[in-house]
Amino acid sequence: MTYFFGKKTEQLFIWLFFPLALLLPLFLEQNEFYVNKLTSVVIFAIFVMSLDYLVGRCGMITLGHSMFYGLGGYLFILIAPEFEAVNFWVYTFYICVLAAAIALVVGVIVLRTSGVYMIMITLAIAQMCFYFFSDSVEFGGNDGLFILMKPDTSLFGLAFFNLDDPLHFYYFCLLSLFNCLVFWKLVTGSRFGRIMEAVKDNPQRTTALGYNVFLFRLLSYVMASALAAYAGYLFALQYGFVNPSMMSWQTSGSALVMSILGGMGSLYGAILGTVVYEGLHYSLEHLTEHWLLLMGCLIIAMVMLFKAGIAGFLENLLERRK
Amino acid sequence: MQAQPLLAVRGLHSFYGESHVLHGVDLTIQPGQALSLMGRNGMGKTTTLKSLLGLLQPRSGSVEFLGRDVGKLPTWKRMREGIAYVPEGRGMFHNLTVKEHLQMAARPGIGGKLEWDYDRVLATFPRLAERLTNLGTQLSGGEQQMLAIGRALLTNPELLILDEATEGLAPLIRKEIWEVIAHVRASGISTLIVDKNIEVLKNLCDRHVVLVKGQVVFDGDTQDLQDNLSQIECWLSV
Repeated sequence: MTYFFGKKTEQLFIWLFFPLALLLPLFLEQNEFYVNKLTSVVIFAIFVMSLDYLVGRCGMITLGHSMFYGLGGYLFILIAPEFEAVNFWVYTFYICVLAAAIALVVGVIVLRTSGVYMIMITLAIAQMCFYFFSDSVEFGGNDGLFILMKPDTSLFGLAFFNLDDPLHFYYFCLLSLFNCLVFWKLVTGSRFGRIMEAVKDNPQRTTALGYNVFLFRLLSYVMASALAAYAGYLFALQYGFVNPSMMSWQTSGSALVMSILGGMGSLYGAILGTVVYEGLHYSLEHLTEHWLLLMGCLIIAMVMLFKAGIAGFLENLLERRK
Repeated sequence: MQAQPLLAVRGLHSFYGESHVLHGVDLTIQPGQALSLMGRNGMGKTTTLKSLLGLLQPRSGSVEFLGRDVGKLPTWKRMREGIAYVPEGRGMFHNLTVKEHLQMAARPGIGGKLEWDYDRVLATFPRLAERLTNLGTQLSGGEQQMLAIGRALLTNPELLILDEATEGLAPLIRKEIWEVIAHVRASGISTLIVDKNIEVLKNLCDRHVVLVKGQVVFDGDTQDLQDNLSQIECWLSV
C-alpha cells in the first residue's frame, strides 16, 4: 500500500474512506435511494479524478471534459444492439478505446493551444457536441436515449455481480474508483508522470531535455478522456439512460470546482472534493430553496480557508514537506 | 583533410520581433573539442544558443549536427540527436526532487550510448547523493548547477552546452563547478561554454569565439586568444 500511497495523509484517507464506503451501504440497505445516491457520487468521483489529473498534474485546464463523460454513455447505446444483453467487459473495452480514439483527434486540435485559449476551445468543442445531441431527433434530443437491455457481467462464464442490484453496482463502482486511484498513482509515480510534472512546470525546458511535449500532453489527454468516458458509461448503466446534460459545460464546471475544493492534483482530493460538494448539495437543497446561494458562500469560504484544497489542508496538518 | 564537424552553424540571422539580434553568426565545433562563446551581456550569446537549439527560429542560416541538417527539426528532436543544454538560471523544475530530476532525464544517447548513468552522476556529484529527496529548488545555487549538469549528462550527449554555468555563484562554488566541467571535458564530451571568465576559459577550451552586437568578431584557438588578449578583454569589458 505504501508503494502506491507514499504520503501519510493519503494512507489515512485510504484506510478511512474505503472501509467506511464499504460499510455505509449496509446501514442504508433498506433505502435504495441512498445507495443510488452514493453510487452516483462514486461514479462522478471517477470523472472528477480524471479531470484532476489533467488540470492538477498536467496543467491542462479544460471546460470540455464533460463531452467524454456524455460520450461514454452515448457510445454504449449507439454501438450495443438494442434488444440484446451484450458483455459488460467487452463493451467497457470498446467504449474506452472509442473514447480514446475521439480524444486523440480532439486532442490534436485542442493541445495546439494552452491557458485561456485551451479553455475556450475545449468549451467550444464540448458545446458543439452538446447541441448536436440536443438537436438530433435520432439521438433523442433533450430527453436523450434509454438503455433497454443492461449488459451481462459474466466473465469466463462466471457472473460476479448483477447490474440490476443497486448494492452490487455500488460495490463495483467503488472498486472501479479504487482501481482508478491506483491507476493514476501508477501513472504519476512513473517516469511518464515525472516528465508530465516537468511539462506542467516548464514545457520549453522539458523540450530542451529532448521530450516531445505535445505527445506527452496528448497521451495524458487521451488517458483522462477514456476514464471520463468510463465514468459516463457507468452513469448510463446506473440510471438506464443518457441525455445531453451529461456533456453540458455545467458538468465540467462542477467537476472543476470539486477538484479545486479537494486539492487540485492530489488525486485522492478529487474524491474528497466530490464527496464534500455532493454532501453539501444534498444537505442544503433540503434546507432552503435558495440553497445555491448558501452553497456558493460555503465554497467561497472553503476556497479561502483551504488554499491548497481539503487535501492540502490535511497534508499541512499531518505532515510537513522536507 | 579536416574531420566532419560535430556542429556547424552558418550565417545565423535571428530576430526578436523586428529587432535584428544575430547578424550571420558562424560557429564550428569538432568532435571532442571545447568551444567558448564569450561576449558582454546583450551581445547575442544566449540568442545564438536558442537559435541553434530551435528554441528561437532563426530567419536564415543553417545548423548541421554530425553532418545532418537539423535546422528544420523541432527542439526535442535536435536534443535527441545528441545535444544537451544546461540553461542559464539552472532550469530546475519546482515540483521534482533531485532523484526525480535525474530519473526523468536519463536516457541512452545516440547508438544506445550509455556512458553516463545514475550511479556515475552521483559519484561525480556526491553532494547530490546526500540531497536526493530534496526538491531541486531547495538546493543551493552550486548544487542546482551540479544537478543541471548531471541531468544533462544523463542524456548521454555528444555535445554539452552550458549557458553561464557559474553566473551568480560564490567564488569557491565557481571553482568547484569549473572543476566539474573540466572533469566532463576530460571524459571526451564536446562542450560549448558560454561565459565571461576569460582566465578559466582559455585553459579549459580549445577554441574561442567572441560576439559583439550579434556578430563574430573573433574566432581562434587559445594561442590566438593569448595573442589578442588586450583587444578581447576590451570587447568583454563594460
